[in-house]
Amino acid sequence: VKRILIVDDDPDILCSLEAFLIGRYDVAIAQDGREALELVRKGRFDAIVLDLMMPIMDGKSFLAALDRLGGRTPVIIASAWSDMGGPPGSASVVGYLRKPYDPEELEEQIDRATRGAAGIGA
Amino acid sequence: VIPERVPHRGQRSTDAILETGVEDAYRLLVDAVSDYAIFHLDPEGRVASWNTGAQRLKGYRADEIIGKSFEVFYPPEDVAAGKCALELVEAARVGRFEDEGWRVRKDGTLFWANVVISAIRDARGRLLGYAKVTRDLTARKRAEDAVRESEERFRLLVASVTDYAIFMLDTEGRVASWNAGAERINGYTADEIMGRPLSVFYPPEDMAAGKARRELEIARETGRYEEEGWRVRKDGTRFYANVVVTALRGPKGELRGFAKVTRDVSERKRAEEQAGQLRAEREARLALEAANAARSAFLSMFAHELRTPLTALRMYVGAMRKKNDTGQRIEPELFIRLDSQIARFSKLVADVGDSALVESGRGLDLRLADEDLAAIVRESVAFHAVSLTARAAARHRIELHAEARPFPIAGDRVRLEQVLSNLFENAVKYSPDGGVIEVRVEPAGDSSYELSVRDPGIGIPAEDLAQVTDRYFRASNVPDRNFPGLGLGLSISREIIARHGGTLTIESDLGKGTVVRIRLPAKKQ
Repeated sequence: VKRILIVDDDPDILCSLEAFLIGRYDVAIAQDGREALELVRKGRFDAIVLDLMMPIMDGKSFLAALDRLGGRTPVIIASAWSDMGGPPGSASVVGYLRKPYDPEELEEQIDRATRGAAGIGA
Repeated sequence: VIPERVPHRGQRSTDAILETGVEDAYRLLVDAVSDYAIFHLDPEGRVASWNTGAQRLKGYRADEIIGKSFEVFYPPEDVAAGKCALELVEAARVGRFEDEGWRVRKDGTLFWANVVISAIRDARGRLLGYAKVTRDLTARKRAEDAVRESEERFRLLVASVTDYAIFMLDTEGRVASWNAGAERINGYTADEIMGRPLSVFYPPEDMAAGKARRELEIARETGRYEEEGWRVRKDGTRFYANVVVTALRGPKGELRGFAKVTRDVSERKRAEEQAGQLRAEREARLALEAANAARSAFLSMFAHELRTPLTALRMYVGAMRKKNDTGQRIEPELFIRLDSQIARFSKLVADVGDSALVESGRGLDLRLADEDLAAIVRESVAFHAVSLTARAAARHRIELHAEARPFPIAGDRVRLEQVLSNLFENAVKYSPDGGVIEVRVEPAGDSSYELSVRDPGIGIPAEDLAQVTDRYFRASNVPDRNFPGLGLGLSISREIIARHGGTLTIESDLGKGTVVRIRLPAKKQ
């Protein structure tokens, strides 16, 4: 089972994504970038679904920190803002989703990302 | 120089020696006078004697002039006009002739002379000749001319000024002089206005109020009066005038009248008014632009805020469909969560609707009933405590402090719950993890209760406090992207509390926390 990390400051988003993805993936959640970074340091994830605008540590800072860790975890950006705050400029980013995105589109992107990761890993 | 004596022996007394002595004394006296030319003319106008003053004044020595006609002292045009002969005739006729006029020195230069010619007659009335006394008044004449010229120049200057109305008023305030500027600005000619009262220049209402008289009184008392105001031209049109009235006083301080200087500053006034209008228009435009910017920021935020519950809704529906497709049971928990997202979505829509209602001026409708404020707060706290722990990462705690007794009010329970929900959401949103939110209900004076919600959050900058309950306003320390929000909660809450006859005030310590205090009137038992 692939391990997915969902990072969003809104508890309702975390709850609902967890409810949708559970069963097919092993789902972990984090409410801001710093919390997510701790989880990434402790364990390996096959993909990360990342909100950009969060207090404490936002998505861009998290991406920069992730790149510094040297990992190659694929990241899917999922934001409610139309402009997404510009491209994060990280090689980790493999996809974008704009809220309210289609749940099936989310699954497809996660599948594609985890397949790619597996490919690179193999 | 020994002046020749006119022979008038007929006047001599018998005491020739004494007589001669007195005569000599007179002769010496006359001779010594240097400020006056004193000399004799014979009946034909020839110079018969000459003194020191005459030589000094006219430049001739006695030997040069004795026997010459006195015409040499006159300018040629006077001689040609027969002036010299006339003077003698006149002196002979009435005994004395006095004149002031230009006379000629030996060197041809002119001087202004006062001349007295007296006829000398013997006892029988026979004309023996003339005594002529001449004084040089050139210096006085020059001084007088200078004063006159200066006055004339000044008069011309004032008269020809056209940009300023400069005129005099007598002590009674009647026009006593008039210049070109006054004619141009006020429209009257000097003939039309001289002697008329100052009040004719004032609009009827000022005239009725005795404004002109008051101005003159102030000028009389303080020396000066200045103002800007409306005045009326002869044709009835108005102009905006700058007016200075100065009291004119004589050497002993007695009032002689007033000088009045008026300028037409209508153009400046118009320009100022136009500038003011432009400024007002610009401010209105800026306010409109700011309102538009706020509206557009609001719409963008509204769309953002709607996306979150919509995303969650799609996820829950997706989860349900998946379970349905694979023949799994759909847990009741999913429906509850679906419902809560619909509630979240509805609240956003309701807030926008309420805000529009308040903005339209119609206001929010309340359904007042007998309620217990403490009970409403208690239930609200309990509900939010549950919903906070229900969330995946509940990190705040709400503490309620209230006496165990009723706090009766006339209130709209649903609206008051809405207020509490807004306050709790703000407290949670802007407070760090683990923060304790203190809610208190207590009596405030005899006839009201205070409900306070204190959070340990980021606080509100002092300069934002006054506006923080304004619609759309969001404090400068909550960047939209980190703390999304519509900026409606507090404005709607304030309105709901105001409709209850209460007040909502906010105190905040930046970086330390915020207290929202609500006062509601107690219901009389």
